[in-house]
Amino acid sequence: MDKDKLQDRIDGHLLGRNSREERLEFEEEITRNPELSQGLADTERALAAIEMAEDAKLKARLQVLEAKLAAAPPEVTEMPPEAVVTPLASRQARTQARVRNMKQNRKGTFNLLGYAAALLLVVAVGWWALNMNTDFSPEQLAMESFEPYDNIATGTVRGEEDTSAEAAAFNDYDAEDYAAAATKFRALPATDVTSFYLAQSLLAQQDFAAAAPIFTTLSTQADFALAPESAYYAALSRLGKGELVAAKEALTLIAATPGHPQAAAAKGVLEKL
Amino acid sequence: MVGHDHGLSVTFEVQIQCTVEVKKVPKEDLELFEALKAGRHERLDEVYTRYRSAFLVFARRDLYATEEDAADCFQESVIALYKNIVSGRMPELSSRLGTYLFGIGKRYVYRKNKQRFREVATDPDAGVGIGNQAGEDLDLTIFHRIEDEHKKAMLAAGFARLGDTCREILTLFYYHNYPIESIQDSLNLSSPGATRIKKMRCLDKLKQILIPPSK
Repeated sequence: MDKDKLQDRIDGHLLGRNSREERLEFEEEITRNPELSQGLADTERALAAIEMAEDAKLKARLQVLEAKLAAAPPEVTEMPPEAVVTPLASRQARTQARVRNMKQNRKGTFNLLGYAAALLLVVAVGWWALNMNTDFSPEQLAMESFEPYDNIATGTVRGEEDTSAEAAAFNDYDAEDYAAAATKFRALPATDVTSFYLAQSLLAQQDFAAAAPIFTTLSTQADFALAPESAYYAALSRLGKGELVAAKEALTLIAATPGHPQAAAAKGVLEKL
Repeated sequence: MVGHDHGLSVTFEVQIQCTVEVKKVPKEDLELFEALKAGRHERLDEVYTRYRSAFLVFARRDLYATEEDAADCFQESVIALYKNIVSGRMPELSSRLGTYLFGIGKRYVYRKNKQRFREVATDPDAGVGIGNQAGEDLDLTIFHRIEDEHKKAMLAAGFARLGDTCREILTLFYYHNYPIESIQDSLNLSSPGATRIKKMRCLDKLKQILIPPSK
């Protein structure tokens, strides 16, 4: 079974997201599937570590709060009077988790967004005016629109020297030595992730002909998490090759796809085409 | 009321009508509950402040907890309440939050009192006391605790080796039960796909770090 699918099933079970029937089926399958059973045991161990760490963090935060409240004890009621409750705003500002509420609706934020939008518009108009007469070749446009995708595959361990071949490839990639990175990625066993970054390295060197087929293949892999991104880079590669019609079609489709991570970028390229 | 005379015995049917008043859960409790359910763990400060004083008095006066233990148990119960809510083990709020908190906290105090009772120092010359009774089995609790502490230290050290982003992703996903899209937004990652890949990689790395030495 695909490793990611296996983990999704394990996560569904451990996080209580399965239906009763799915849970019973999973519990029965553990007894006869050693891969699933081992995966479950390893994930449970990882969860224990995560839980311990976050429990300790929350406990430490509440201990700090306790020390503050103990220094100024409130009256004994179930609902302490407002007067003895430290204003929440200051405590929340200190302890606010790095969570942005997607439904946040504060006046101040809207004003700020309004100013930012106005400034962006001025900059965009200025840029457009300055560049009105600039003609882009397809290769130039492709590279103008290309930004190497961030390395999200390594750098998971703090301060640890990972001497694996994969780490070496990503080190070159991070250092923007794309030629060396491409050589190293080619030597690795081909996985979707290593293929993706190989193609990124090729595109960064303007090797459109080599990058295009890799990205095209990846964009059709339903199980690959970066398939939508691959479609965008495939379109850029085709643009670089001079395949304007195909590139435009692909970019139009991406721009029109709701929720596509590269929809805005695709729109930007189309406007220039 | 109906009575029947069967000669030797008399049967009465009695109907009693009761009116049960169901107390509604306060709106502020419901709002707080929904926030915690969405993983807004920073709101725990509010829960803590709201119920702290009453719980400390209750724990010390009625459960004979020490001041230190009362505060410690209250902290544990706030965290336990949050974990029950965010994990879905407590899908809805049918009583006041305080009711749940006090219920959880009471159990923590009982456990703490029991531990203190076990740890009462014994004087071998004193004669009667815990551990001095003839034929009493050796209390293995301390040995289990040492083994547990060692395991905990290994897990803590392993998790600490992960990078900041990895620790954040895994904690948001597995502890606070955030969907991938919320994690993407919180950590400013480029897409749900990228977030999913990053999460898988981080989990794989953590599993590797935590592999038991015998393997």
